[in-house]
Amino acid sequence: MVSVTDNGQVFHINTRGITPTKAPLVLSDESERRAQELMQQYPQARSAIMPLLYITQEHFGLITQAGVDWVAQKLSVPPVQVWEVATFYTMYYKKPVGRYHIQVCRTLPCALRGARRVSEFLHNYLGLQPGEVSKDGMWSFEEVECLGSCGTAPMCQINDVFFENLTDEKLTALLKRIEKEKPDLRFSTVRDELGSGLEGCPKSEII
Amino acid sequence: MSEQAAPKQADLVNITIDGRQLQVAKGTNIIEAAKTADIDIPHYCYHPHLSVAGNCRMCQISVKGMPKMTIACNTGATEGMEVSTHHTSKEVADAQAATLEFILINHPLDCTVCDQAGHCKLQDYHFEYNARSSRFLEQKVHKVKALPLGPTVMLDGERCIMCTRCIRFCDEITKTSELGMLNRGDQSVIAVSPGRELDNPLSGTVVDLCPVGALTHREWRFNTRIWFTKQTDSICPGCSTGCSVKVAERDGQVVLVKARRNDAVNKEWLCDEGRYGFGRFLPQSRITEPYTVSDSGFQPCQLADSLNAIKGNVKTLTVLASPDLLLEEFFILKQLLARTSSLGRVTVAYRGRELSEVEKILVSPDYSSNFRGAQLAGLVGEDPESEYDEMLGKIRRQEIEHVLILGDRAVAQQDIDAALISGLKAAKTSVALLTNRESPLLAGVKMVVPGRSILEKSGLLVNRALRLQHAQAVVPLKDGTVPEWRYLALLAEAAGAKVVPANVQQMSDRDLTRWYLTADSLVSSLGLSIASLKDGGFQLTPSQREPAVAFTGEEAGASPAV
Repeated sequence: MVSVTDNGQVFHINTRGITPTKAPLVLSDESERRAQELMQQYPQARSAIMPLLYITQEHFGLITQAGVDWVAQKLSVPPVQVWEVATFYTMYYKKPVGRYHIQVCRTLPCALRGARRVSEFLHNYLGLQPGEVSKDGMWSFEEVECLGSCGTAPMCQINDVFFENLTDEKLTALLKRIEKEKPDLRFSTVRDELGSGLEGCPKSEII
Repeated sequence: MSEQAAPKQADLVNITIDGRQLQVAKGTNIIEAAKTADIDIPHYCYHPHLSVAGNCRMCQISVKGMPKMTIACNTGATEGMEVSTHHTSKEVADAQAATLEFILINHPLDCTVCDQAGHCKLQDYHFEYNARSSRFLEQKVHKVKALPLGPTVMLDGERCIMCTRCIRFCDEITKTSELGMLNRGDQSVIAVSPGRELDNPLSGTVVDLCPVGALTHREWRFNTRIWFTKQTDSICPGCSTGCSVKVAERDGQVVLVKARRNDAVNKEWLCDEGRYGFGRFLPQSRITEPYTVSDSGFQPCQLADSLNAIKGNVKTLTVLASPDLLLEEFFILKQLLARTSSLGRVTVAYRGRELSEVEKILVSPDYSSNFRGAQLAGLVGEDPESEYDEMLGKIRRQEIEHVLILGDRAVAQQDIDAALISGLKAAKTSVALLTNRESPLLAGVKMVVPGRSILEKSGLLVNRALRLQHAQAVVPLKDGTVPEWRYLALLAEAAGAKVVPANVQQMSDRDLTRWYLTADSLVSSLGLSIASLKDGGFQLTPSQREPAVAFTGEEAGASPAV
């Protein structure tokens, strides 16, 4: 559907052989209801492109042609303009990510407090390069710019949950616990709530 | 811009550009304002008929009182504004040089194999505003190469400077939104919407708009270096919109067609049919000498033979005229017929057509570039299509005795059938001025004279909205051919009508046009010259039509809504 070069850098859409979704796609009732709510928050429909893209990303796990068509049709904008937004931002995944997607902040405060160590730890522990997905689909990790938690550097975000003041020990404990318990750290950016399975655990306790 | 041509006095503001005092309409952007004083401000992304994007940063200027430099395209003139361009401000010149250096960082510099080389804004501006070698030593970013965006346009992602003119054209003008810009920063690339192609009827226009070699015509890639071509400003004869074009010719072939700016007609757009079909008026196999057609085959003959054959029959002559004859030719034809008999026996091939929504932006609902010219000359009435149908019916019923066919397109391709050919054959005299040796009309006529294609003639065309424009020959003349006007003049002379220009044998197309502009009462009082028609043409008013054929409001509104 979409083609990405080996290094994941240049993203261009191969136009051949893709048929746009004909029948209007309908997502879950919950998604549809949230889309309606969101669209009412903006004076211009197109302003809702970003939150609606998040909804489709939660639904499909990545940005897909079907998801883009859904957004375009909901907001009456040309699909290519939704693609423009989706490809501009790195937090919209154009390639599948692991069930647990770890984003390590590498901006200055985190870098000064050992972000590189966190990255190296993950690289060794998971056997992955930034941008890669583990073979079983469980893990992926990438380095990102500031996640806005400089006071508790170094930190990472797993799906939508922050884990802060990281050390090797904390990370080992955290990854082992996730492997064992497989908590539901679903994408929940729009809902702004902790994924189920970890609700009972305040973040400090997990760490 | 035309809407700013006559602003009210109160809307005018005084500004100073490079020390020169100007009066412009309030809010005019500084690029346009400077243009009125012949000060050129370089720009890539700005286009007068598209929205302002302001992303190329090439048009920077310095305005007194503003802390930083600003971009001219997005700065409106206000009272007392003092502007310095690169001509007077070193700061601005340096900024432009730096902008160019940045733009060229990831540019592949493959001018040696680039079709745009020679007419590329990047080359021109670099030469003019930077002209020093790159300091960039790092690896350039690589992007898509030679990616077809649709049936007509090829993208080279690396040459693109992200001015987004093509995207804005598809968003704002055709409203088809096929194109977008994906990714960001130095990874940005123009792409077509997934599952779609850039296939709207005006798609080739994005290549004209592209200031660099990123978008090229699939039809004409690697045809020739532009500096080996002869380029001529002319008018597209494809339909009666009469778009202004610039045509590049090499070795007698049309190798590139660009839209030329004419705010009153086509802004700077051109339809694909007109552009890529420009060469269709130039048949590959040409008729180069007069001959007679009989059952025993083709026999070469003299031009005089054909004149002698019909000069006695002018009173009852039926004329089938191509819709792309020149206004001058219609005028001489009118003189020829009016001196000898009543009118009403001339038809111009006219077939209406359905247009898609995008075509309606520019294209006229016909294929008849100069049917208005025939109307102005009073040869054809208000409804050319039914007159034409009536005439075809007459021919098919074999009611025509003497017929003169002017041009290959005198009968539309789809109307040529066996009944029509046998109807023509039944005529006692039939002479045809044709260019195409494979024309199906050859089967029906008795004498053939080598005519000229509209691409080989210079003269006047009148578009659907009654704009008088001067079309120039874009390809060299073919030896042995006779322009229709000369044939008509010789015929008039032979038939004893002494109103045609003298010395027609020595006249060139330009001489003819000069003569016409003073000879025809339609235009003689307007004081027009070829030079005055050069820039956008001259708008005739409905009252200038003769004879008094009613000019309905519906037709007046038929000028395309560009």
